[in-house]
Amino acid sequence: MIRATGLALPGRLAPVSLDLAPGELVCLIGPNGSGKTSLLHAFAGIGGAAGRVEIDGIDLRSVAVGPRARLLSFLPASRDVQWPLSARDVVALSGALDAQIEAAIARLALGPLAARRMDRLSTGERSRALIARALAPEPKLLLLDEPTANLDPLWQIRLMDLLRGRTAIVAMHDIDAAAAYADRLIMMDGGRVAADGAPAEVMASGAIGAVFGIEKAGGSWRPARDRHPGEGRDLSG
Amino acid sequence: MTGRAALILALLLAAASCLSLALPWHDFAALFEADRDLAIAILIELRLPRTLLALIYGAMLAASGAAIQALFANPLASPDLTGTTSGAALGAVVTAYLIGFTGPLALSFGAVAGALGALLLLLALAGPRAETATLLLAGLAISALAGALTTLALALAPSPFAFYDAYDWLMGSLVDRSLAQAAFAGIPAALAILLLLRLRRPLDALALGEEVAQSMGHDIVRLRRLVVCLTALGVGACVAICGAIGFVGLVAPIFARGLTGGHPGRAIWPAAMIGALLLAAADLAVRAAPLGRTLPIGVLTALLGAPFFLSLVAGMRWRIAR
Repeated sequence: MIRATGLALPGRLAPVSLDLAPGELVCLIGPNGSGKTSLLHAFAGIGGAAGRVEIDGIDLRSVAVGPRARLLSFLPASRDVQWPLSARDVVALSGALDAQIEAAIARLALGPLAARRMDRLSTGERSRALIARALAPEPKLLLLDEPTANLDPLWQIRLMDLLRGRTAIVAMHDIDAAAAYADRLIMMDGGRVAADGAPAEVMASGAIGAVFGIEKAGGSWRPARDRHPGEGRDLSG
Repeated sequence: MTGRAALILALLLAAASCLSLALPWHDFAALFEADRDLAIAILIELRLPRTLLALIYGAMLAASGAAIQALFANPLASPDLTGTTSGAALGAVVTAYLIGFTGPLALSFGAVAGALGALLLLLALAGPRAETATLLLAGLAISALAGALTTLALALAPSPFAFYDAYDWLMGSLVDRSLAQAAFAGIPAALAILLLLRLRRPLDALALGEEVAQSMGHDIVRLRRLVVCLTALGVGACVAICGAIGFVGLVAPIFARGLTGGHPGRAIWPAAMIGALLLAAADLAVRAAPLGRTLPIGVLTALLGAPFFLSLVAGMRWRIAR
């Protein structure tokens, strides 16, 4: 059981409290600047976020660096690694055990690439190495910021399949994929939670059209006629 | 770093230390035959401090260079290129100017304060994860300002002899230092290196970016403060005794990361060993150079280090252009 109470980032995220059931895959959607990354940062304790996150009753703030790797893992949207480390070394920086590192490398099919330097991999391959880094310690909570970005369609499907059954919050832009894979869909708007529920409920509520300024016609999304994208509320206003 | 690499480095360090103590061997052997007490006194009072200072100053420059490079996520950061050594030199000169030469402790405090001021100014100007251009420009500006103020303080010095003494010191020299002076530089530097070594894990985690390091539970603000304060402490204490020596802090971490698979934090220890080896070898070279007088060691490290630095910049430019 994961319980977040009063998570907030000044000017970016209004106070929010959330409970996650074990194994619940939560997809986070919202327009650019709506607060998806801020919510992930607040969960991960980045940037001086206020609030408290408890995982199985353990307050994250009281956990040392080593054991924390088994509780929480965060994948940022950036795929940059500053130094010419090999893909295996990047996975090993997670603090996972050797067997877990090898398992994560195998799961993301990085075997032939594992010895290669990160700066000599394609963006998609780098993404897979960084995802393997996040998955390796098998944490109780995964926080993934746009993990499917830069992945080819096959790997997008494989990744979402890999996440099934894990407790994870996954920010993504593909609304249909989010609705298809998530157990629960949270939509952010202007630094606040605009909708939270089962994907079918959120999709049917009309909230997506209102927040994104899009509408579904003939099975695909297109700009709504009476609204422009990005008209969400602004926390600073 | 593999065990074999560590052993080779340790053997090279031991060899350089023995050569530094023993050379020139014939003169020393002749003196030992003629006057054993005098020979031992020369060994302990003159050669030992010089050897110790070469080892500890080289190790300090390289360890802090590795830590600063990891912190700024930039392979071109180093104590000299960030203006830290110039700031330390200014701090020592201003202290000497204001309260006179009252001993190495006051100079050390002045140099540490100067180094700290330079690093804090750099952080304010370039930001915590500075791009190469911003970092180098900010470091250049701080070095230029510190250099100009140092020259001004020397020009206004009441005694013209002070200017010449300080000029020799500013060029960087390990000659004629006492064991007490070696302790004034060595104790703070050794402490700073040991504490920097404890930061290797968070500095390695920073390779994945500041956000990931924070999510892993590392306190980045505390880490930044510690690296800045320890660098200022160790480099400042060494500059106060031996003057400014450049490029060791840039070059050694680059070789060290080659031994650690690119890990920036894990490179601190091998960098310290390589830095000690480089400065000990440079000191042997200036002693062996047939120039009629001893070349300041800072001049030699700059003569060798500057082309290396230029090759790094050219390499980066080539990669960007490609």
